[in-house]
Amino acid sequence: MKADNTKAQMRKGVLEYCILLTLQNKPQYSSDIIVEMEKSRLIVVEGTLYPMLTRLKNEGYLGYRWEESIQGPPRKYYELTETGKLFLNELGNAWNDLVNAVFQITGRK
Amino acid sequence: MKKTFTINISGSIFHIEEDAFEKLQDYLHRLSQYFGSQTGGQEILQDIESRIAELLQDKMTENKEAVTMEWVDEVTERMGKPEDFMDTEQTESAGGTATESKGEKIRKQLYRDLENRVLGGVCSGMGTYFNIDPVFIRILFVLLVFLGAGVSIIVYLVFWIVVPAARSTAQRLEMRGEEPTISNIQKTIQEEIKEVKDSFSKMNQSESFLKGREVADKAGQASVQVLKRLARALGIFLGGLLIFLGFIGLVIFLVSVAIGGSALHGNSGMFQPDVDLPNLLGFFVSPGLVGVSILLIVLIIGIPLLATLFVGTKLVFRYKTNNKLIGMGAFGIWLVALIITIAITAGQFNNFMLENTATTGKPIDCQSCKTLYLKSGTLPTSMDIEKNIDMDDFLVATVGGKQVLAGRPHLKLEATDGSDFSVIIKRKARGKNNEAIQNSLKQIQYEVNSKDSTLVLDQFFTLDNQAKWRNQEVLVTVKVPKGKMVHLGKDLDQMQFDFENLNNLWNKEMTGKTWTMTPEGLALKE
Repeated sequence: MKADNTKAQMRKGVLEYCILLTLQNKPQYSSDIIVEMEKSRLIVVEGTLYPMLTRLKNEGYLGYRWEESIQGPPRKYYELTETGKLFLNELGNAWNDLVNAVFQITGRK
Repeated sequence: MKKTFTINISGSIFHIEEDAFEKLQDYLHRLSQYFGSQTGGQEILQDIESRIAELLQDKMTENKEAVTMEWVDEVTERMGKPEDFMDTEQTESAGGTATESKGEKIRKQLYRDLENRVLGGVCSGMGTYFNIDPVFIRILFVLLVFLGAGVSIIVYLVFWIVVPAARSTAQRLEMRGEEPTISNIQKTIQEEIKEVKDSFSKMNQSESFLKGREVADKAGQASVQVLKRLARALGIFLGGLLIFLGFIGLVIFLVSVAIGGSALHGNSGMFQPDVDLPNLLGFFVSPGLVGVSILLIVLIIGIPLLATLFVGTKLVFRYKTNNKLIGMGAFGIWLVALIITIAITAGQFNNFMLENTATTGKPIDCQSCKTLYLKSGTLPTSMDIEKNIDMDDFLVATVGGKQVLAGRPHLKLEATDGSDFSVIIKRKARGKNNEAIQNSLKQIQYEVNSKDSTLVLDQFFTLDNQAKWRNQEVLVTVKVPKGKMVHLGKDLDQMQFDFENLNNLWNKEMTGKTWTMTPEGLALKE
């Protein structure tokens, strides 16, 4: 269905923004990001997250460090880099613009 | 009770049941096929693996320590299929490659199906490959065994050796995967063309040039895809042709080597060749070398034929082999065989070093004759010529049930000042020394008989059964007194005439006529 495709496109853009948002205040373990995303029902299958994290990292917006955990092997904690913070700001502005645009249009009607 | 394996997923140890292990391995295999080639792919895989480890760890309790099928199902469902979570941006930037790799993932490959095998699983594998009941392929093979005198057994063995068996789950999946077959290819080509058309119409609608270029890029990739499919279809056609040629070539070749004309005389099969290779070789090389020569010929001719078959099957079917090893190995053996053959051939050369002749002559006792009548002797009527080994100077024939070498003698008519007709027979042969030459000369059988005014000439000379070919020749010269005449019988159609002033005439134009010996040479009697 056409709507599915559009919905998926919308979600993907927002998903990237939301991943960065979860990292805004403190570094996060990837499984914790997943838990948040699943709570807000932004992702359907968990596998979606990993390629996206790797890409954001390769583009320089994210960094990570290994942290020992009490149970099991060390964990990968992701955090925003300086460029990542700027990028997030820009996305935030774009998001506000979009929200305003939608409100304006729906408000006018 | 179930067998379990111990595995290590990103640093954590698990006990996992056999079926669950296969399923998990298959899932990871598919993931690595998906991400393996892209940048950061290994990292993504590691991340996913550690997440899987984490999820499995959460499920472990004191009572449940082994990973079961259900757990794996649950985890893989939660993680999703690789095509579900391909990152969009990368999909777009990678363009057609994402769809292509999706196609590759389920690409059908030819495997030997061991689960449904009768012998090596070749037929069942082919059945799966073509989506038909293997019984039909088995029937086809058995039929070919009867028709092709067993060559399809060799073809089967080649497949058995060359085609890998489907052992792991992943291989079994590839074996059953979708795609090839010609109708599917046609379908895909149509789809691709439609896609290209759509892309173009989309491009026309969009105003932005940038967007347009991107679409054009995609269209370009799509047309590359179409070309690829066309190339594949062409490859299948070509491969089929090669298989056919290789197969027929092998049948004919092997039958002529293994069975030959001696064991099966007459019409014993579709592909009954007339050449009996071992026998034929005996005419050229010394007895001790016949076996070796046969082996060499088998290698020199057989390897390219097998290679044709192999390349053909590689074009038609998709299966994994160590091409390099097989190719280099076969080429190496072929090269060695060729070198040995050249060496042996070179060794045979000194058998042709020297030439000598033996001449016998006899007068024809017929002084009163004005015309000498030349007629054909019992050869060729009493012999059976092998049609496919018949060169001008030598041929293979069957005389009295035995295969022998034979040759066509040359006939010359020469003017003489005397008053008598006479005939001179000159035998020629080559050899490494005089003794060998004399021996070869003795082996030349040729008969000329005269009675009154008739000279009966055999139109072929033959060599004794044990004789080797040493470029033997026979020259028959008939001395004709000037003014007398010679009638060439109509049946003299096989001999080679060496008439100095008539060398542009066909035999047909000279036989059945009477010729007068004039001082200028032969002239047709008016």
